[in-house]
Amino acid sequence: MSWVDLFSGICLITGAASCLFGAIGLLTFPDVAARLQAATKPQTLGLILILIGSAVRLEARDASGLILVGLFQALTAPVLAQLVGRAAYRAGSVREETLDVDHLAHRIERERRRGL
Amino acid sequence: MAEHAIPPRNSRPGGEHVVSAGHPLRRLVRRIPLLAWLVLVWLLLWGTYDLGTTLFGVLVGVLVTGFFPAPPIVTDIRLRPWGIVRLVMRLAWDLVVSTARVSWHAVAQGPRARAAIVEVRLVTDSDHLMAMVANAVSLAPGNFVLQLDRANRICYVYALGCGRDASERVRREVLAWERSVVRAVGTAEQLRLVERTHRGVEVD
Amino acid sequence: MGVVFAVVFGLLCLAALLTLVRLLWGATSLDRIVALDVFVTLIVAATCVGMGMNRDGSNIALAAAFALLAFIGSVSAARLVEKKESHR
Repeated sequence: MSWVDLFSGICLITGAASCLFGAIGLLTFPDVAARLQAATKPQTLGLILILIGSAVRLEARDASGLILVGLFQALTAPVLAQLVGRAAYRAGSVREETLDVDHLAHRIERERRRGL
Repeated sequence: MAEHAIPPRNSRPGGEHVVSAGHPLRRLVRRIPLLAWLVLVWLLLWGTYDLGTTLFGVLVGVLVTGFFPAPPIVTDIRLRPWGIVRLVMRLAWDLVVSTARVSWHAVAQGPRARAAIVEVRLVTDSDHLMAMVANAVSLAPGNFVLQLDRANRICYVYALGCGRDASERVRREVLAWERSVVRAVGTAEQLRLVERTHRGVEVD
Repeated sequence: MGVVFAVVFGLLCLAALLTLVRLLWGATSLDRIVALDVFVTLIVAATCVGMGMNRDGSNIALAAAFALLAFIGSVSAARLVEKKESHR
C-alpha cells in the first residue's frame, strides 16, 4: 500500500462518512430548512473529498474532469439551499416551534398591518 | 402567506461599469473573461489539451456568446488576488467546520434541533457583493440565507442550533463574511466603509 | 485497498438508503426535492469512487452531466412548488 493509496483511502472514507452524516441529518431533523443544512454542507464536503480521493488514483487528463464536478457542486449547493429555503418558508413548512427568533415573521406581520 | 415583494431599485451608486454595451469591439473585449471560462470548461470536459481542441472551443464559445448574448450586467467588482485566495481558503475551512457542526446536530439533537431567523443589514450597497455574501454565508456553519431585501440591504439568515443570543452572533458572522468578500472583490471605497464599520463593532 | 472500497461503498449505500426513506416519506414535496438532490449527489459520488477503483476515467462526462442535471432539476422543481404556494 503506497502513500497515494493511503491518502486516497483516508479521503474516500472521510468523504463517504460525511455523506452518511448528511443522510442521517436529512432523516432526523425536524423541518425542511434544517434538513437542507444536512443536505447541502456534509454532502458537498463529502463529494469533494471523494473526488480528491478518486482523482489521485486517475491520470491527470481524467482527473481534471473531476475538478469540474466538484466546482459545479460547490457553486450550486448554496443556490439550491436558498431557493428551497425560501420556498419552504413561504409554504409555511418551516416549523415555528423550532425557531427561537424570527425577524422575517415580524417584518411580514408589520407589512401586513401597514397594508390594512 | 403574505406577499412581501421587493420594491424595484431606481438609483445606482457611482463607480460602476457596464459590461456588454457600447461599441461592438469593446463589447467583444469585455466578453473575454466569459469566453475564457467557457473554453476552460470545454477543455476540462474533453480532457484533451491541444491546439485543435482549444481553437474549436474558442469557435463554439464565440458562437454561443454571439447567438445567446447575456443581458447587460452592471458591476462594480475589482479583483484582488490575495483577498480572493484568502476568501477561498476561508470558504474551504468553513465548509469543514460546518460539516462537523451539522453532523453533530444531526446525531446529538436530531428532531429537537433549534433554529433562528435573524435579520442582518449589510454595510455595502452592491448587487454582486450581496449575492456573493449570501452564497458565502450559506456555506458558513449552520447558516443559510432565506430571503434577501436588496433595496434595504437586508439578509434574512436561517441559523441552525443556537440559543436566544443568536441574533448578535449571526450578525457578527455575516458582517465578517461581508468584510472577507469586500477584501476579495470590493472597490477601495467599499473597503473603507467595511473597515470603518468593523472598527465600530470592535469598539462597541 | 479492496477493504477501503468495500467500506466506502457500504457507507454510501447506507446513506442512499436513509435518503430513500426521506424521499418516500417526504411529508412535503420540498423534502422530496431535497432528498432527490442528495440521492443524485450520492450517485455521482459512487460513480467517482468506481472510477477511482478501476483507474478508468471514461465515466467523467456522466458524473459531470449528472451533477448539472440534478441542480437544474431541483431548481425548476423548487420554483414550481413556490409558484403553486403563492397562488394558493
